[in-house]
Amino acid sequence: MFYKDTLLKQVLKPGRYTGGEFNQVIKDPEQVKCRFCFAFPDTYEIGMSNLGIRLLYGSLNEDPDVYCERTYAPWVDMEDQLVKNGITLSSHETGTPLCDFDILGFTLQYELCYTNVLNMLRLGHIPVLSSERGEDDPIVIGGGPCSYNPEPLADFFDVFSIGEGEEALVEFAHLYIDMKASGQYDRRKFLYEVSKVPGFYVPSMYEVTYNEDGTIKSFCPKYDGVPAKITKRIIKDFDKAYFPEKPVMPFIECVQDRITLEIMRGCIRGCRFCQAGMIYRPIREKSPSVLNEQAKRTYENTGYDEISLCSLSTSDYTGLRELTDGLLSWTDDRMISLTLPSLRADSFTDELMQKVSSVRTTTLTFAAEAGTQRLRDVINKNITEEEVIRACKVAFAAGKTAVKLYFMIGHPTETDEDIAGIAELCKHIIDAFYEVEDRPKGKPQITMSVACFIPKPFTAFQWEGQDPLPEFRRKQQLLGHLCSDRRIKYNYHDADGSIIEAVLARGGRKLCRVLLEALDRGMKFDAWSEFFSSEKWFRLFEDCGVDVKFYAERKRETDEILPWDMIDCGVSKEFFIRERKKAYEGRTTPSCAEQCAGCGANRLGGECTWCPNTKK
Amino acid sequence: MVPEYKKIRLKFSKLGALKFISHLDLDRTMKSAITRSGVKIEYTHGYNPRPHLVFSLPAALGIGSVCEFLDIKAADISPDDVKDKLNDALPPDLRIIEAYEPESDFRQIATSAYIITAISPDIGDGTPDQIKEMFKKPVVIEKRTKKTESGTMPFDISPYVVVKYCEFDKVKLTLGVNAAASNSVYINPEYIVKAICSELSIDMTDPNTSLYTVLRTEVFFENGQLFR
Ligand code: SF4
Repeated sequence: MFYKDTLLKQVLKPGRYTGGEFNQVIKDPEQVKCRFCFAFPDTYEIGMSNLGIRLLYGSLNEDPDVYCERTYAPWVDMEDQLVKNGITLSSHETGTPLCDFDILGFTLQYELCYTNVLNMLRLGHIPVLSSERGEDDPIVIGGGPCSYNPEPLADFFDVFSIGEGEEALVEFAHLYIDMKASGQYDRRKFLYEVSKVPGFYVPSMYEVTYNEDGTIKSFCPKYDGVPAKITKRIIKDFDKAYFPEKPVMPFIECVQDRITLEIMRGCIRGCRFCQAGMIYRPIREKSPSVLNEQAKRTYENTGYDEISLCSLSTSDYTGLRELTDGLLSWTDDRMISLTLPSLRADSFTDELMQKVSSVRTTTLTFAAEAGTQRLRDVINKNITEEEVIRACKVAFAAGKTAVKLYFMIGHPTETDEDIAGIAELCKHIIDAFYEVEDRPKGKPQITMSVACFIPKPFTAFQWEGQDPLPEFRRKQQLLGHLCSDRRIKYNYHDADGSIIEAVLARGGRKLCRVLLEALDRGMKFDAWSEFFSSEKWFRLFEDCGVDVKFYAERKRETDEILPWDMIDCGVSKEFFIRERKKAYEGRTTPSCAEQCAGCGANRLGGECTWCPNTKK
Repeated sequence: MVPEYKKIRLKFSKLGALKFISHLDLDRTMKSAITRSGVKIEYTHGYNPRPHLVFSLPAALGIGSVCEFLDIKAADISPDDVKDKLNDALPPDLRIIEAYEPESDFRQIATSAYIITAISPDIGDGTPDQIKEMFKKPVVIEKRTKKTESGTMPFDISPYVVVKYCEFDKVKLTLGVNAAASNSVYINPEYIVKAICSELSIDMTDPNTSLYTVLRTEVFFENGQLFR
């Protein structure tokens, strides 16, 4: 523990800052060649729940030459204390100020954490702009889903790791160690060398020019040897991939505090709005026996009483029955419960209901995403109303009265009929409740949770315009009018947050200025409703001369150079163009389990379950 | 065969990072450690069975302790084995000091002894007598309560605090006190620190110049005997 008691007594939840948790890795900093700090740009409770960090922390620390530590965004009361007392934001393990590390790695999970990234750099006494960092400052590297369009952060990061980092980051650390050892290290040289390693993007090695209308005219490497395209890295053999069997166990209660088994990467479904479904391809499964062993060992090392099976679409995992049977053979007597975060309505069965305790104890949630079959075909959510209703009936028959449905409004081609369809579907579920003979007593309760569509890079809808704010609001109200039934609970957020996310998600380097100004205005914790202010954001964009509509509402042509075009996520642009065309024609694409749609991700190789082999 | 569970009392210390976690978090931390240790303990009955742990009234947040108690019910294992197995599974800042089959009840705990250490450049001027005198008169603090709207109420702590010893050493003050720690009256030692700071006009909020720590060292029965 490095922050003094006196300080910790003055903040809320001091357990966020003490470190010293069980399974935290302790090494002698003098005995390693590279000191790495992972920075999570949100609170400790959220960061500790993140599987990616557990993976990278563990895999870096496996290496005897590297010591990886952790730090999280301090809550505002702690920030006040740090600033007031002139204390630098430090790591949890050894209390080392962030500015003293060799490498500082940020994981970028959502756009609204960008202001926190900048704020943490400042609290860590590191120059916020990459161009202003000197030889003694850490190399600042970013990764995670948002790094697929890293451009809004280009000025603040020295380098981005594109794709899966378990192996790539260890390699990166070793390049650093080798250059230091051979005396060849200086910042620029190192970054130049890194830019040539597959899967690393060094923004300062590229030049962007613009057309008069603000679109990109050219995007080119500045130096010889710097690749024009950066291909993401993947783990080829998921069974052999590093798995954190000794995760650090938080003392204080966190969002997810349990054993998390990642059963597969990638998704066979191909929903056209979903970025995660694309960027984690090709689809790789871990075998049930490996998972079972990993679960057992993690249990012995932690004593957690809950195992969560995690993936983008768990019920698509081919070994689900074998895995659940294997787990239940030893978890049941030990009173360990199994939970599943995501279930598809079409694969929801009585058997799952019996086996999975989260299914027994919590409200079931199904994602329908759109209200009519026409629109579900457009977005390629291959699920029918009958399937949703059947799943709800299974739940009702098992004694549940409440179910929750997820929808999104603002999809391309959406009409008011589709909005009405959302309300209709929920009403049909209510009718279905009364059709179930052995239904529980009481009234059904349908939660209708409605989000706003955000066009994301690396999706078939990456070129689409987002609905303007008044249109979102109109649709939200319309839906409210159509749903007066008291048995339907209507949940939605104001659309302005989604618009700001859309700007950051598809923006280019010109947004760096905006974020820098946001830092100067003290903006932070934008993912928290108590801090988020759309007014502040809209004013900020206006003051910086940034047209929100240009980024959010403008429909791009498919031949426009997009800010993220230098990244190859595996899935090809041709595939996205094909998918977009099919969307407009209302045609669906079958899942990879039925037929390979030729997305291109199999080019990356790896032991994939469904992908045709093009490369070993 | 149903195992025969017997009650085992664990006396443990809680220092470092563990000073700053809530009672609920301590409970979770202990449960997972017990699971890791492989010691079989009795679970609660009912729909969602949980390991059955009973803690004595814990030291308040921010206060270190070498005298906390936890009762568990374990089968087929000696208290010493429980102690060893648990110590292997606990984080370094939690240690089992002693394990035994208890005869008393936590409700019999009446008072607790604390060592308070304060470091600050302002301390120099005080004297031990000043502190001892101070607690002979009413010492009214704003006690936190849920009963009033402001969330606090004036409360005289002097009848519940005994100053055992007091040493001044330039910038450092060391104080031994006994304070009520029963279910009916519990004096958070932070109140004592606050009262002394205001008596001596010391600012204890600047982490660059000042530091104070409170350590719970012992707990007692009503008659003054060490609780066991
Ligand atoms: S290559 Fe084919 S099977 Fe593999 S992810 Fe792409 S579409 Fe699916």
